[in-house]
Amino acid sequence: MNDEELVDELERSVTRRLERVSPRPDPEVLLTRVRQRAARQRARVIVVAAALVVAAGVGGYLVGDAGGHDATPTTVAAPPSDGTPPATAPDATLVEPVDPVAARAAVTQAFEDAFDGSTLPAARDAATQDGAALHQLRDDVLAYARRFGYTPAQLAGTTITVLDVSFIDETHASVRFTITVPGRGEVMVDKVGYAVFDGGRWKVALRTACDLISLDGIVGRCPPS
Amino acid sequence: MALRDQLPIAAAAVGDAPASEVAGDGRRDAAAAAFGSFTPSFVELYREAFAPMVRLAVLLTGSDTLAEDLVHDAFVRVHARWSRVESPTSYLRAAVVNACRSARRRARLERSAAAAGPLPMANLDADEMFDALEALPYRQRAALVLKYYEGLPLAEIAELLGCREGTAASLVHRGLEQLRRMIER
Repeated sequence: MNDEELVDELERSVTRRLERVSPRPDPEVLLTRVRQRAARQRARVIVVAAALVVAAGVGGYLVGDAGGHDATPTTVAAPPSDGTPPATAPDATLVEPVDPVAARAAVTQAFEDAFDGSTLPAARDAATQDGAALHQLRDDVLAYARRFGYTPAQLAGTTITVLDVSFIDETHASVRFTITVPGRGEVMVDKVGYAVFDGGRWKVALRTACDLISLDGIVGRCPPS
Repeated sequence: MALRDQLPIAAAAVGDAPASEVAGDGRRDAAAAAFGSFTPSFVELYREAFAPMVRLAVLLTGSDTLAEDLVHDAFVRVHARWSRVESPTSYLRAAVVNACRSARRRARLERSAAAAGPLPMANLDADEMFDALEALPYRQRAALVLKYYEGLPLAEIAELLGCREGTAASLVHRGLEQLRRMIER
């Protein structure tokens, strides 16, 4: 049997088979399935939203005007330009600031100003490296948090506890902290971010603030470094 | 002209019927109401393409029931992306071909899990050629169906099967060879 005969036979066979097929569109079946899919998607969105809201509790930071911010940090890292320390330490001996006690207090204050929900916007901006660059992101996340039922009071009540400050060099420190949201408890426990000495004072590194606020990029966009 | 377009049953496809008639006499109102939930252009596609796509799926899976099921699912996917799909018919066809491949894979897994037993989609009628077609590996079978039933060019077949045009040609060639061996055995 050559190819042509084979194809002819195949086509005859297909035709015979399809003669027994009489499909009838059933819009009700279709509509039911479309609705089922929509319901499944809604359920999925709710699950994701619930997860985000838990993470979002983290971000009292954004609360700003009264509000808070969502944030989902794990360990926050970034290039030196946005405040995180150089990837390689100069050597095994860490260099601390001249007055480590005062510096440690200043770093702690910076994290509290940046992430405590009750901080005034100006103080929060001052405590964050390039703080003004985060306004848009802050607004986006605030809107996001409100959509998921976060109340201004809840966001404004967010607090941060700095657990430890370790200096990496004279101008960089790593900070362990826990963030607590009223009604939700500790939503981020013993997380790590960075502080940078910038413009004559210690501040929360831009990337740390940005990653916290944006839930590690889930909500909004961080400004370019 | 593609074999699909020559089949007499294509002319009788319900796709040509008014919306109110497609679901049978007792369900006209419900069908019309259901159609009313969709945009007219989507309804038009559904009416026109449902039957041909079911036939394509029958050829790819061997099962009428499964074919209708998969095609409905494919339409749901198309509906979800309706405003973003450039060519709904192509998207629909791709969704059907993919769904059939997944269904075959699932069936194969279930069969191996159940240890043997006949193919659930095996043809009960004696049609040696169709049985041989069903026995081909999915990609060969799909390549033959898309070429000789759908009448698609190799480039389009390649796109649907996610391979190069040369590979699609090879699938057609090897599919025919395999069919010949099975028929002449």
